Amino acid sequence: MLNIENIWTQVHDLSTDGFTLFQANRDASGKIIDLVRTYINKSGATILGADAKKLIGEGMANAYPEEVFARYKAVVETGEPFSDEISREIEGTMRWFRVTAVKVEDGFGAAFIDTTHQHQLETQLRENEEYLRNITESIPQLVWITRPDGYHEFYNQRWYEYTGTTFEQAKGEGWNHVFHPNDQKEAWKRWKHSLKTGEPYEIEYRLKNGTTGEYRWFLGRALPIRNEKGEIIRWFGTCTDIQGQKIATESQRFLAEASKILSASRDYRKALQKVAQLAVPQISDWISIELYDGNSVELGAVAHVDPDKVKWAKKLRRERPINMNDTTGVPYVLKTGLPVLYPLITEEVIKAAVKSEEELRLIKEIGFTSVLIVPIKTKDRILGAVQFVTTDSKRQFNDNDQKMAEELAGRIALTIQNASYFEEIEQREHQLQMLYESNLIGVAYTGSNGTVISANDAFFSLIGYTRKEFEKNDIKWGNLIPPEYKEIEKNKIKELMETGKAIPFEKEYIRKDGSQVPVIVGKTLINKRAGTSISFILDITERKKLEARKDEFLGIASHELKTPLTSIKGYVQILERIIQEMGDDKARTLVSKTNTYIDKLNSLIVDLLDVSKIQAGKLQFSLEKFNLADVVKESIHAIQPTTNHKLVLKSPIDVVVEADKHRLDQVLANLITNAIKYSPVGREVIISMTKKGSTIQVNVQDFGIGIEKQYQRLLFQRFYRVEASSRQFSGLGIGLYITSEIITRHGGRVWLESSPGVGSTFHFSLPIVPEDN
Amino acid sequence: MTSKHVLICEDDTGILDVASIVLESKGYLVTALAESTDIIAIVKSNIPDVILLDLWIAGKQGDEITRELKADPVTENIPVIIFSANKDTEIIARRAGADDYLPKPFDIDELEHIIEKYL
Repeated sequence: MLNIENIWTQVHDLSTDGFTLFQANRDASGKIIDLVRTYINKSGATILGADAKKLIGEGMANAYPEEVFARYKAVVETGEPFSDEISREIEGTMRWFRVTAVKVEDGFGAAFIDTTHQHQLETQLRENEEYLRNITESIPQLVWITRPDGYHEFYNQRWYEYTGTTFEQAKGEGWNHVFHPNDQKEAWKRWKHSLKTGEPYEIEYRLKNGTTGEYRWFLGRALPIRNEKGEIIRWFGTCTDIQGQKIATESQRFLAEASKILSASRDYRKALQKVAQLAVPQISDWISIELYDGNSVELGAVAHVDPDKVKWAKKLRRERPINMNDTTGVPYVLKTGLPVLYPLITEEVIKAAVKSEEELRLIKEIGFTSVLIVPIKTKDRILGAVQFVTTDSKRQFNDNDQKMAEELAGRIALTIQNASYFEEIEQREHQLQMLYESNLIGVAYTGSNGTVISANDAFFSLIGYTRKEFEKNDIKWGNLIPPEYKEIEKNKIKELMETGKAIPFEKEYIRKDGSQVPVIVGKTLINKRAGTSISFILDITERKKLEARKDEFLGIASHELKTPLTSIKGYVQILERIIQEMGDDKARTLVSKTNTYIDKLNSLIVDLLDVSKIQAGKLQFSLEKFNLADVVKESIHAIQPTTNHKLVLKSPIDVVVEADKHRLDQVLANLITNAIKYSPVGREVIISMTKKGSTIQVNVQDFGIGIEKQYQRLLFQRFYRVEASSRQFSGLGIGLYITSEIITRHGGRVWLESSPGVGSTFHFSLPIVPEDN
Repeated sequence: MTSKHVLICEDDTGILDVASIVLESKGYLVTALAESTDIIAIVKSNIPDVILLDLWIAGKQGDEITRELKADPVTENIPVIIFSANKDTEIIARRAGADDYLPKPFDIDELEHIIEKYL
């Protein structure tokens, strides 16, 4: 016969779940006062950590918490089973059990498993999650947490603040709207991929700032959180603001690209347009490059991603050109050379700047967010400005953007400057080419050793050879320069190499036929290292002939004028002697006076010739060293007999000067006779000397009519005569001109002090020759 | 005592006349030439004690004549004085080897002195 009880026990002992039976213990009124364990299987005893024998007979009323006892009691009383998690303390440790209890006779049977560990894990997880959320509030990123299926169930406070959304809007997949439209697709694709594979999620995207509307760059990242079994239980995601880095990187890349464009292009306007194109939309929504010539502003380049907008901007500029009288914006930058940064264009800013309703409407239509204008300038000139404007992107420029813009402007300035150099060089090359081809003057390119590389026809005809002979190497270059010019030629080449040019000098070429041609040659270095230079050679045969003729004329004129004068003088003097012998004193005086006027006529002729020489640069001096005081004394001595004025020499100083004695005598005579002439009622002329450092000064003072201040400076001009005195006093007005020329050419200076009615003092100074010389 | 012989060559007849009058009145024998073509031959045929030359004369020029005279042993010792109109001609005269020069216009006293100096 089957022992049912035995089998039952064995079955229960095989089970890993605990199984136990309790029997009700009722009082007289039938009320349950306790539930007493009558059975527990092996697993049950193991779970409870006690011996089965010890457990049997255990009363629930004492061992179990009251509410647990109450629940089991209810099962017995009502017959309703229950299945729940029950906890109670066993030997000082809180234990958790999943229990299913059913009424069995007047008691209950319960199956149970220990869930303490599981419960602990869950608690821990809950705590962890709380902890995590607390952390998320303290980290400076936007944080979000999703379920394994990607459903967003948590965002940190920063997220709400930045995006301006609520949980209701952003939960689940509501976050998608915060993304920049251009970034949504890619972000979604990668997120799906991560959800599917469990691979970490990482992507850069732009998120819209809910307050300003600005899209900023973020680095989005998410990592899966897994449980012990390796199952993904959450995704933990962050968004880190990388706008600064992103812009810096973009800026650097933009600058590098822009530099490449600018340096590669010869046509800087095209380059500017390319650069402008490059700047949108990464750097700015709008960019315009303004060119300034010192008066007006020209739109050098403009760019926007939308070509229609560019057309609109160009049209707008035509209709409303920049007014340089404005005190804000581009005109301000162009006038001051200072950058301007409006990080955020507010309503107030706009209202302060606009002058008309129409303008206000226009500006609102454009929808400015931020404006940055930097000058394009060189050390000494403002060439234009670069203007960055953001609108739809709502991007706000900052100091870093300004730095980038200034760097860009610097590179543009360099490009414009280089372009203008190129233009100038091209123009010069063109001019040179014209000069070369015109054959008005000889032009020759020479190599380092003076060999002619190429030359124009004018040069060949100058030296009497043909181009063919040059090409056949038939020109004997060594014979071209006369020996007496070899030295100067050598010096001039030295000058050329040292200073980059040789100041034009005269020399001669020996032509093929042996005749000599005078030329003036100027040289400019083209390339110092290669030693190549260009020479300009002008045939000055005609000029030389003219000069010779002029010299000849001067000589002949003086000879021709003086010859009859010499005869007259001779005859008069013979006559004077005869009259003297006759004893007619009255006639003798008259003839003697005639002689004086012949001398005056002679000195006028001499002066005129001097002026001609000064004009021709032919006034020559024979320098010698002598005591100036001696010459002063001699001059006074020679003039004194011809005048009633007393010539007084005060404080003569013995100093040596190096000068043309005759010319200095001429200067003194001019100043002293002027002093006499212009002080008709004066009785004396004072001549004095003063030493001033390394110069000696001679002063000639009269007590005559004086000269008004306004005329004083003009006195030393050629043929100048003070109007009021010209009728009263004769003269050509060239004496002081010659005097001034002579003194200046001696390294000295002539000046005067004068007051009308009091008199004049004329001074001249000369360098003193040091004694040990 | 024979008179000292002065040869004057000057194409301006006024100056030639003045110089002749002054020097003849001093008792000199004066040969006055108004043109220079045959001057060398004339000098050689009758060696003067001093020669007074203008620089620019029709025919042969004063500096040229001086050079020829100074280059010829027969005439090299005759003092040559050149009338000079300015500083430039003075330089030309000296370069040509003239012994002295007399600037134009001159005082007749100066003419007398310079001739005396070379006699």
